[in-house]
Amino acid sequence: MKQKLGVVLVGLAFGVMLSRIGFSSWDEVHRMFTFADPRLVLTFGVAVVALTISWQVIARFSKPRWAPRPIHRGSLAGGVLFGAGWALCGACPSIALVQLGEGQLGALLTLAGIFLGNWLYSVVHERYFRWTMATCADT
Amino acid sequence: MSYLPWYVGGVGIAAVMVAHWLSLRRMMAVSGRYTALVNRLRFGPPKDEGQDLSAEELIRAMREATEAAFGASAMDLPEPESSRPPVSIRSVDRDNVPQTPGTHLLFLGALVVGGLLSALLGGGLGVTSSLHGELFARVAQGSPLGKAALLLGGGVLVGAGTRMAGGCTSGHGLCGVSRSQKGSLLSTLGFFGAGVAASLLLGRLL
Amino acid sequence: MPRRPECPNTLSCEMYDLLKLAGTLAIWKTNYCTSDFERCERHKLSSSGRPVPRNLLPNGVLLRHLSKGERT
Repeated sequence: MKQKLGVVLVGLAFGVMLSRIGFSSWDEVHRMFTFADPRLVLTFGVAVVALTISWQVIARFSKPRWAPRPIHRGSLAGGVLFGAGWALCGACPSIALVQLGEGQLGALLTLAGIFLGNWLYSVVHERYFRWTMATCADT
Repeated sequence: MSYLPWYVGGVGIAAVMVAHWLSLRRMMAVSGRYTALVNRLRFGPPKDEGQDLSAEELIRAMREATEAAFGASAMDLPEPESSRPPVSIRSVDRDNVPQTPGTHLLFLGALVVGGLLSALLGGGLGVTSSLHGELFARVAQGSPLGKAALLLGGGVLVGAGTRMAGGCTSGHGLCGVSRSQKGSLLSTLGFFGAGVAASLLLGRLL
Repeated sequence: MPRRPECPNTLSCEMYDLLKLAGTLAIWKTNYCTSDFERCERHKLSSSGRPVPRNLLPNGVLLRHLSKGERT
């Protein structure tokens, strides 16, 4: 129950944040990727710095077990596919949902695409690829 | 709507990520939730996968299974030294039970409601059958088919790419990079580079 | 002397933790994780992108309540 509450509150906060920053605007994302406006990149950069500090602080007080994310054969190619897709539809998996909430119903197509793409890749990987993403944890 | 300045937004995003970890003991990784849902659709609900077993019961069963597989002499052999942080039974019970599809849907749904809240706070919901965004409309040459192609095609690439890379902007770009994880750094470079290239190409259509 | 490769999943493998808690890690590690890890049923599932059951042992046995496990 506590987990479900946490999930809802964090999800709400994240959704509001992404929207208020402008990540859910196709135009803003396009401006980010064409270097027309550094605001989103700077936001990202500040977040990374703040997180780096936060994790160090947390690690000092507890002994967290954090799953490593080593390079695997899908790291670069997967990133490239994702980035290309993001430029086209203006969304990543979280943003498409925020867009929907804002009334941008085109995001329904994006969401359908994301589920379809995830499914397709799952089939392709099982059939043709064998590499591990170094986690056998079921999310 | 006027957007949050970068120094506020950046801290806000980080705060949300930290809150995620503190309350769920998991790094935020949104594409993983899609993966879990797709897996549930493809492979069905887990059967006999120990969802109902506590760590204590698992440990007892494990000792029996080890003895069955290797004999009594294999029990309680000295453990090799390791720099791995220790786990406790309590932490296993807390952290290792897989999340349910319901939890994933709650999170994804909360993102939608977050968007709704933000739109309402920002002075009104703007419902459109495609996307807000003048540049988007121009890139699609105003054509509904063009818009649909960008959205669906882009979505497929996002879905496939995030599953292939094992993460998205939150999992790799934020959590992974801030922990200097090499896989995340590479994936992030990949998606940023591709985003730039694709956007510059699309920009020619403006 | 070439170093034997270790299973890349050990740092995030839940079974690894449980085996350690149960005091039975050493024998499984020797037989799978630090030697022939491609035989490990968990590794096989993970490599093909499939979800890994929480109670699956490297030799394919599924742990159950208080009694002997069964082969998958």
